Amino acid sequence: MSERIRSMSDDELGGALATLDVDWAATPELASEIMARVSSDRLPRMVRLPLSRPKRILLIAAATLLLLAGAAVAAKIIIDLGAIVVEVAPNHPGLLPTPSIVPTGEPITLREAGILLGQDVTLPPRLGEPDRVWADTVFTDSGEVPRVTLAWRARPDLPQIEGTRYGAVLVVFEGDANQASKELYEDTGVLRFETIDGIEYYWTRGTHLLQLLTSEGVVYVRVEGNVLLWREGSHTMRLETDLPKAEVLRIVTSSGTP
Amino acid sequence: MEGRPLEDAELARRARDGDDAAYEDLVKRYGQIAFRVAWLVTHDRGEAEDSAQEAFVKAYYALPRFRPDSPFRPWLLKIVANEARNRARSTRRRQGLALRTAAAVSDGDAAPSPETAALAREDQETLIAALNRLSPPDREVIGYRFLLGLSEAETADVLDVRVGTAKSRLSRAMGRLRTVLEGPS
Repeated sequence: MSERIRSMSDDELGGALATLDVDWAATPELASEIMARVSSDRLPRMVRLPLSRPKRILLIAAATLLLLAGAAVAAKIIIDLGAIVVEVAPNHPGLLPTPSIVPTGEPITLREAGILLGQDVTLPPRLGEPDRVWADTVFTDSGEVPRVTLAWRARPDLPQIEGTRYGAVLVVFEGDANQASKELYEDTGVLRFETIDGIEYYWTRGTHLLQLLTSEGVVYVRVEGNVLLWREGSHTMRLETDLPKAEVLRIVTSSGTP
Repeated sequence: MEGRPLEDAELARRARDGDDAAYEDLVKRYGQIAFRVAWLVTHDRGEAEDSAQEAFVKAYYALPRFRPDSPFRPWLLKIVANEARNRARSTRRRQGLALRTAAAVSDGDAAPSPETAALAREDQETLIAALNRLSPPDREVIGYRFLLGLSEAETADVLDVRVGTAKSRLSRAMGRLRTVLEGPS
């Protein structure tokens, strides 16, 4: 190393870094693709309905009935309900239109969460009804899949997870628990296994990233806590708490998990 | 009429109200730094491009939640970094960052800036090599702060930590950089 760098103060070293002539990868042309995407999505946003939640639910029900009845729909209708989009495709003879539900990182109901995941979410009885449910997407080996998150506020039996206002956060998505555990291990450097009734549980604790719904949408935040990961059917379940492992295992195994 | 470029907040307000041209201006204004932030996280050109693109689309739909009294750039870059982290963690593409000096790959056509000229080529390569040996989190914080020139507050926003935490993280990263620089090559 040159004597010049060695003798630099921190400020001077920072200054030297700031003047480095880095060979950045050439920036691709982004604007046309982005603008094409937001423009093509404009139609559903234009018919966005500022409805109250009960009215939204009614509208979802109406849309569902419409779909079930196989009503002839002359044109493509998209009803943007904020958290989900019900899309009624043009009705082809012999085919029932299929609803497509898109998680957009906004609060949803448990029922909507079940629709997104393709199965009801099993709630650990001790946790009760979650205080907040939201959905976004995550990239897995299978591509981009919906991810549902349920959060319970901190309370006497659920100590606050440092870095959040919650006492428990359950994340559910279709994917590989083993892969998810490796990602957590990268953050915490700790990973334990336990097999109960044939189900393999992964346990880790420490500082790691967790996605939470904030005023700026779903963002990753750094939290300090314990995580239990396991697989239920085709879904990976990830429970964040500040409780000891034995306690969390009791919560999970008493939820009806096979 | 030619005039001063519109402020970010005004462009964001217009974009939120449906003015596509205003959002396109923001994309063009911040496309490069968004791509570079994503590249620092993903270390992969394709992933960085996808991350930046997806983040701009998400930011567009999040505009109603953007507070006009707060700066647009760190708000956007935080979304970019989140998107890039999401992809990097899921696609397992955290290969080593291959930072290089531009001088090392150029044909020597471009004249170096006075600042660059002030730092000898050998010193530049030494610094780059040291950066490449740091852990990804250390490279990220140094990259945001010094290579991309984000302010301390912006760096904190992109890392999603408080300013004090970002400062201490940067300080520790600089300490480790110095250790690498002083260690055996």
